[in-house]
Amino acid sequence: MPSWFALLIFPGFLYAVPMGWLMLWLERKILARLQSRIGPPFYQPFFDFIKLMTKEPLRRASGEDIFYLLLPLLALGATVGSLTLLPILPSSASAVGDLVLFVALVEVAPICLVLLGFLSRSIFGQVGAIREATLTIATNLPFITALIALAYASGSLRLMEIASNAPLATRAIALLALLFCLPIKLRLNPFSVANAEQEIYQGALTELDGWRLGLWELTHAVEWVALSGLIASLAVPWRSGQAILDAILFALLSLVLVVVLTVIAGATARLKLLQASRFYWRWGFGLALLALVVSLFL
Amino acid sequence: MSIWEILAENLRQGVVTLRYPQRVPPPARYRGLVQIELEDCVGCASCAYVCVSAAIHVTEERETFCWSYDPAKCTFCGRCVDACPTSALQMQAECPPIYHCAGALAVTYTRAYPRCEGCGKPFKVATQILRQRAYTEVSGEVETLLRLCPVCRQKEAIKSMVEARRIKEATR
Repeated sequence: MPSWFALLIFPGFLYAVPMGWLMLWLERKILARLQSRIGPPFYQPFFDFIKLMTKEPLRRASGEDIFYLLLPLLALGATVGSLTLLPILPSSASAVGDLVLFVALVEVAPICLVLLGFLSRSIFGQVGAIREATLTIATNLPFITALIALAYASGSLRLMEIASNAPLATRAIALLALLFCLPIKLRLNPFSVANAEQEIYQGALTELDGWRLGLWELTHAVEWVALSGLIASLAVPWRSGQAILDAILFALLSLVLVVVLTVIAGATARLKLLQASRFYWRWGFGLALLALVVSLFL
Repeated sequence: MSIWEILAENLRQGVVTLRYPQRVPPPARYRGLVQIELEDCVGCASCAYVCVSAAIHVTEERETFCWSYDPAKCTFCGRCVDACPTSALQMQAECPPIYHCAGALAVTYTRAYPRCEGCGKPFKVATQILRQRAYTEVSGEVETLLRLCPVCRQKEAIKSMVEARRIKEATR
């Protein structure tokens, strides 16, 4: 399969953007139903995006403008790039060490968010950036440890080989540890500390407006696809061999993850920064360490 | 009740949001649109004076006055109702209808001043309610005098004073 296909069609732009919007909608809809509200129609994220893209953003000091353009674009590009590495189809282009590249690309968006927060020179943006940075460190500890456990257990740094070779015990524990990391990476309750709407006005995003915010929302949608996709593609070793079937299985698993994450988000309230990072250092890291130990001895 | 039970209950109960035109019924003593009983209005403009959001305007012409009210500006504070000396203003007990342009519910009423029974000029008359307020008992004489304009009333007063003086001098 050529790499342009992965980047532009599946699981790149053509799949990821509508799927991301569908996930954003599903999150809002399920949350609404859990709270006895109606919730938005399924095309709402698309309309939100179109509306934001047609808005003229506020003019900023000349030096800042370029960063407000480049940082969301960089985050979007990196996140879509990380998608192309997901081992979904048996024919997926798989290079040595694409696991490392995946981790690097998936981390670009949070780093851009931190930079945007500091760039905003708003107190809320800066607090949001500090929180995002603290939590990125806290969550990457279990995230990377779990991936190391998977890589060690399957003896490879290729995502495709990890997906097919990882032993069941390690895979189950490591994927659970990865699942632990998703709410914080997607900034969902109870770990929505960095983008807390009510207390710090969306944190680092507080000064984003117009198409800049639109681009960021798009990045966030693609982040949903990439991070739920990582777990969905690593969860099942079996591949049918038919591209369509594999793609449908992958999409369904991703949507199940969205439902799980949303129900957890709906049932919990926001933690404090200290509580959230302590949770990851203690329980997330503990679980990932267990996966590592299991991978070493089994 | 754990959060899971609450969420399950919410799911079971379904959507509680009311869709237009369904509405929650308004509570007792709800303050809706301001309504005027034009027959009782004397055109004193107290309502326009106390209106904080300038939703009520009273304009005076020579023979008529206009009372206009724009609900789009109204804050429904009810000060106009409290200030009205003749209790001509009331607030509706129902929610205002939904409207799409700002001035859609604006109303303007025009009323001609009553005419003086003496000279026929228009003047601001004291209505029944004001009379009750001003005098403990309204005699027939007061009643006739109040149907006259201030100028005619002055003339009547001078006439009766002159008459009284004449009678006093005649009896001396």
